[in-house]
Amino acid sequence: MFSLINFFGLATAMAVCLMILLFVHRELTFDRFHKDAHDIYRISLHMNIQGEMTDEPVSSHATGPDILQEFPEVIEMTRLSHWYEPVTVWQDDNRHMSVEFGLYAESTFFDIFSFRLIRGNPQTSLDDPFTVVLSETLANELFPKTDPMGKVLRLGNRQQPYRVTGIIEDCPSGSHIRYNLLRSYPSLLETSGANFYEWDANINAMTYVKLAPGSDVAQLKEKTRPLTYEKVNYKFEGMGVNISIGYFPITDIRLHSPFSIEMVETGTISKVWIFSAVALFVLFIAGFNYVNLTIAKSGKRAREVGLRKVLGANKITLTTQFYTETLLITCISFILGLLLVEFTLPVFNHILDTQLSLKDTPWWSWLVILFIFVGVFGILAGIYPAWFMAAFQPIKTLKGELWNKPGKFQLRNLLLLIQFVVSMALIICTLVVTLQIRHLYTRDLGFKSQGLVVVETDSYEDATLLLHALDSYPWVRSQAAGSSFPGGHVYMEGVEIQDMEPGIMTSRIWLDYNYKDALDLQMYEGRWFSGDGEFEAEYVIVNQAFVRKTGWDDPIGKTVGRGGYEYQVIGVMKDFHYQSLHHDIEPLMVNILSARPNYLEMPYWVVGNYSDINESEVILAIGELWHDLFPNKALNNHFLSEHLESQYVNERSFGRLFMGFTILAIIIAMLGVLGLSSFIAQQKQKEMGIRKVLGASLFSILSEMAIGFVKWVLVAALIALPLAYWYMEKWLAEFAYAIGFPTWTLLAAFGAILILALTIVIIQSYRTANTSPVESLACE
Amino acid sequence: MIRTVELTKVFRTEEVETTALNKVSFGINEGEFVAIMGPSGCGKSTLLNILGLLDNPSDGQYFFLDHEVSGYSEKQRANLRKRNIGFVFQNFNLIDELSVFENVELPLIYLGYSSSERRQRVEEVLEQMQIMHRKNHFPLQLSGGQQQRVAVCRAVVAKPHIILADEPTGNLDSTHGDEVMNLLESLNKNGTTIIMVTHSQRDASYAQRIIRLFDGQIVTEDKSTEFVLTAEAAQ
Repeated sequence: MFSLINFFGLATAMAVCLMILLFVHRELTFDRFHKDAHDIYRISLHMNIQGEMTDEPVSSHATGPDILQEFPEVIEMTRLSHWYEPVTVWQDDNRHMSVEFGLYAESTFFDIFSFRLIRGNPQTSLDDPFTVVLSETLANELFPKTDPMGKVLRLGNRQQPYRVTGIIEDCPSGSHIRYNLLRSYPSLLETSGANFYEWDANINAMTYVKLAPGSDVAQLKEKTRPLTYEKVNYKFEGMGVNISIGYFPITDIRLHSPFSIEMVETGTISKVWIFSAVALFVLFIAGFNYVNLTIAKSGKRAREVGLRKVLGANKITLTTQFYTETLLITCISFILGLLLVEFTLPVFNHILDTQLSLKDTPWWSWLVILFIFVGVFGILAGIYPAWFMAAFQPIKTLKGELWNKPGKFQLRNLLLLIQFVVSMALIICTLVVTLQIRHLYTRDLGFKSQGLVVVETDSYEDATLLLHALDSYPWVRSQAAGSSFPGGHVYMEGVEIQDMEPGIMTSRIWLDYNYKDALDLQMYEGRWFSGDGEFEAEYVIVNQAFVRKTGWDDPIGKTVGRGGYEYQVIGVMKDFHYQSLHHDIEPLMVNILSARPNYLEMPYWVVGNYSDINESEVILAIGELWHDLFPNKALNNHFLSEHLESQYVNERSFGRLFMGFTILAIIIAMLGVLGLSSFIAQQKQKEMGIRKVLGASLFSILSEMAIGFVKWVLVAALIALPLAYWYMEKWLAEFAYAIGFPTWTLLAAFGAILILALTIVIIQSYRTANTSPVESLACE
Repeated sequence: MIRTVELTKVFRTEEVETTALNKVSFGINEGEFVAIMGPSGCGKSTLLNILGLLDNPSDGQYFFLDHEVSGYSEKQRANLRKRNIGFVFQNFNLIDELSVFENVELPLIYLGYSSSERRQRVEEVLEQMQIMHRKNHFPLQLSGGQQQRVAVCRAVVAKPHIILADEPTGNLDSTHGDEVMNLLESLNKNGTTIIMVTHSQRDASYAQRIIRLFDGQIVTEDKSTEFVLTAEAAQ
């Protein structure tokens, strides 16, 4: 039993440490596999609008080429675009699939980055319009038995034909750039109306530059200032607007990105620190529990030690013997730990959204790991029990007098205390995180979020066609269309405000007349559009946040200017959460959808409000309808509620992570309780015997044992509860919409730990306490 | 007060069966001071454990204060034990983490005395045994003789009918040994029944009667003036 707990405890701890080690290693080496990783920077845009700073990791299509041309230390430049929306890939037989990360990229992509092109010419494969490079997996999927090179694919809803000119290795997981296919940059120029010449237009390219080794980035940034003025800032002179260009090292993107948009969710350095601390803590506690359990068990070996000493063994030979045993146990636990990792990595990967694998670990790191676990850990955890046992005095041990000294277990108690504190604090954190996430899901968002299906179309005409078609379905209560939907992508624009200089930044969407009723949006004052007619194009509806920002007392009738047009405010909507709850509600202006400039590849989203039908029937019906209306176009639809939930995946994974740590901490702490209580039970065997002789009941003996632990749970509560309260208050403050701190979680955590610890102590002490006093005293 | 009829105790392991006590019958009257003697392994301690209600016999009958207790459960025995029997052990068996006062107080706690009653009783007995000045010390701070005196205090604090002493002077030098034996003798004179297991002839001389055991059987009973009980007579 003892050995089992020992092996199990050690193996679990080692498995956890190994996984964390893999994770930390991955985080710290993110994006470092590129040959010149330290010389590669991403151009960022920093906008100062009247003292309000916005940092964007993107720039216009023109910025990169101008910088490359201007500064000699910039030796390479490459741009990526359109990573944020999936692309539909059509095959010959009209089958199609939606592919994430179908970027536009330039040939210089292969000069700057070390992504390997398996087939094709890296110099030219992305030079011509309408050429595409596929990832290995995608290539195999699309062309399972044939050579993809030179084959033609149709991409996007317009089914533009693209020729396959290369195959690239699958994107490594340790990269902030993700791709499944790369479309050539010239194709973007051909298909979209994007502006390639101005610095303040189409700011949605990720632009990377490679600097000559030894270049001074700060100096380069300084030198870019006049160029920025010449290209863009002169336009804003006197308006309190200033744009500056930054160069952000790609090796810092993973852990230090200050930007809100990235291709892949970034990590944080604090997460790495927390994980490393957890690993160290787990290992430390496992060692401590091991020592406790071993010493508790050593009572049974005291006679062996006594005899060996009588027969001539000295302290060194005995220490060596016991130490070797620890090393052996550590080795076996390590192997068990490895097996555990192999089996549980998929779960860990799922929780953290990573692709960690034991196989990816370089050989030298195995040596380090082996040294840390077996060497260092073995030495630290093995030396005390070995010394403790080897120091047994032969006469005493042969007589069975082992536990004579009343021990002062301050270190033991301190460690147990720490375990209780951590477990309690984690329980509280898990509960609060879970409650907050539930709050995010269930909060009133200011619009109807349930029973809505969202379908993407690629033109106003298609949207109108679909809206009319939906009319004939009895389960469709209402339908509407817009340039976006709640939680969807919105564009920020600078607008001119009547009687105000220089204007404000606002989100802008285009909605049709029915949108208000379909989503149950509420007006604060004024009116909604009166129809979809052309004259509605002169009007604009804003939200309350917009009015707050402008400081208008009477917003109705005021004007908003944008791109040479003036719009008259006819209504103010009540604020609703058009973005996720991470954001405060920001200014929003709504124009009538029919007046939206019909740019290429700008989607129109149709929203259907359904009832009395289940979701799978909705999907089926929409699918059939779509196929009838647009047989050659790919359907992209989703339920609004699901999309809204997906905004909080990070919080959910944070919650799961906490849950994982909590379970782990509780297991470890309870192993600690088990170790210490068996140690104490062993040590107090004689005392229990005496008490029983004197008439103590089983109950009084068990309470005696339990009180010793309850005391520490109480002290732990005094530390853990305020600590967790403080930390969670801080965490909740990061949300624009947070729950109040639920104080009952404090009680729950305390109660849980108390009950668990008591149960273990009582079960563990029961056997000893129930031993006949004759036997207990005979041990003496 | 105590009567055993063909008391037998057999210890069994998987392979060996050892008879520690073999049909032992005898009686002890209230107020007696009886020594049980015999070589190592003769069954003295086993007999004392049964007499002290710490263990049950394998066979035979044991009458304690007119109750036949050989079939009592641990709980029943504990109940009877804590009210009626005080123990003195060779190695004192004091609890090292508790002070002298707390050690002596223990039996009273288990008997449910109030804290003021306990204080009064404990101080009384410490005074009586002249160890009051050490009441806040811990056992390891005391000499062997003092420790045994504390153990005797603990044994008598609840005013038991019987004191069972297992080699009470075994760990003491002769001066301290005599001290303890005088204590037991005076307790006996005040009416407490004392049953003492000993190797020492000198200690045994304090007793009114000596029961000699050999291989689990009674071989002789010395100095006995009032009873000569054998198995047959008991029946």
